[in-house]
Amino acid sequence: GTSLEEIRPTYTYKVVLLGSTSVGKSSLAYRYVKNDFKESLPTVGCSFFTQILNLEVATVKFEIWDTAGQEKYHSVCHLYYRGASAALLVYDIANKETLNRAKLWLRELEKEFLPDEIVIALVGNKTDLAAEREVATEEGQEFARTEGLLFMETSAKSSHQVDDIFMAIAQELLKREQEKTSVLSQRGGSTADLRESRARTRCC
Amino acid sequence: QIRLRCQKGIPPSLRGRAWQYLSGSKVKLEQNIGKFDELDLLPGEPKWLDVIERDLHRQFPFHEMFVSRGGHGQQDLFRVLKAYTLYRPEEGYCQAQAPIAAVPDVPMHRLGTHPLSLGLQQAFWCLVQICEKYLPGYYSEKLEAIQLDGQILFSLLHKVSPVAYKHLSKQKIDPILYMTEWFMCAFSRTLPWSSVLRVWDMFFCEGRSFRVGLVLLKHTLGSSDKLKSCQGQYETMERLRALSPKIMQETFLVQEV
Repeated sequence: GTSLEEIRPTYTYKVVLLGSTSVGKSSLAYRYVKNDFKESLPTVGCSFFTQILNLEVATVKFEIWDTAGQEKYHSVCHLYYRGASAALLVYDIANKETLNRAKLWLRELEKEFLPDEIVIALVGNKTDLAAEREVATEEGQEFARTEGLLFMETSAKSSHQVDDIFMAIAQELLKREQEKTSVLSQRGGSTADLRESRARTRCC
Repeated sequence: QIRLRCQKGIPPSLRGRAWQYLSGSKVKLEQNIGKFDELDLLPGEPKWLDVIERDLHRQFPFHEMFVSRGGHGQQDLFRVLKAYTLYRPEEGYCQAQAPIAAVPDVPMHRLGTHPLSLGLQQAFWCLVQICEKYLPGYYSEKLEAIQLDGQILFSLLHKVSPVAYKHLSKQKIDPILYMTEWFMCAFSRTLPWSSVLRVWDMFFCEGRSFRVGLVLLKHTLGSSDKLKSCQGQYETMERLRALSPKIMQETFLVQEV
């Protein structure tokens, strides 16, 4: 198997979970990494999860930062999502207000990142609470479409589409990697310099 | 002498009463007879009640008292936290306050024959004291106080463990990233229960202390050997989030502190 590993690159990505309190951010991460469901303690600060995906073209390592959702923590949140490659904006399909919060998160990320710097997914969690649904699937879908976000409805409890959304993120990140390489080989590395200098001026 | 006693650990049979005197919650209660009952009768702001309710059943595996859904412990905690949002409406409820309110509830619960009256009032005034005297500003809007304490912790670390300090600086890890839960919950969600009690004995006697945090940092990141497995920012954060049980163990920790 060594020859395979030699050709197949490994990419490490920081992925951050954002969204209101008790929409199921920690539960999503827990389901994805441990394939289990348990009620989590309210996150204070941040929790961490790692997942490795062995895909055909590359190995993807996700470093998942699971943040505190309560608005109280908002003023320090930029410290958590700084340098992220992907963000999951999670809302609860049984709580309309949480979608509005997710939209605010998007505005904030747009201020911090350029569109090609981060992959953003809108995630409507708790599909197991179908009877209490307040947000129609189409509403989330339409918003994601107009903003150019990945979109999926999930249930951390029943395991519905949890792997799928992370897989979609991995595919999108790899697609961008490929695009970057092809642009680089065309222009001989000048874009990389540009990106870096931009990143430097933007930090702090 | 009290200070020494608190460092050595207050005997369990006296702890509830000792915490009342040390924290000043007993005096507060006596100065405000009837205040808690008055707040307890008010309905409360729905936006805070909603969050508190959601949190209650997913709180505190740390003590049997709070395990049963809708049981005494959870009910009491709800009333204490709700009363606080009415006492300080501009602050409302912060999720880190639930463990803060629950810890003293355990030793104080046995006080008096009527836990639902005396114990509950004590727990409430104890929470007030912690939020106003011990950790002022920790749970208010911008979290400025905790950020400031993060900076203080970090500069103290420079003296206590230059190796850990250099490592965290190099990896650009803001103190907020690792000390928020430690400090906002006064270590109640970090340490094993026996250590929590000992740390809180000292906390009530001497006020908030940076020493516990410094000991944890020093023994997790304080030598080049320990840093070998903390190459990246993420690895370091993971390590600080999953501390070695050895350094959190009561006797070791208290002795180091």
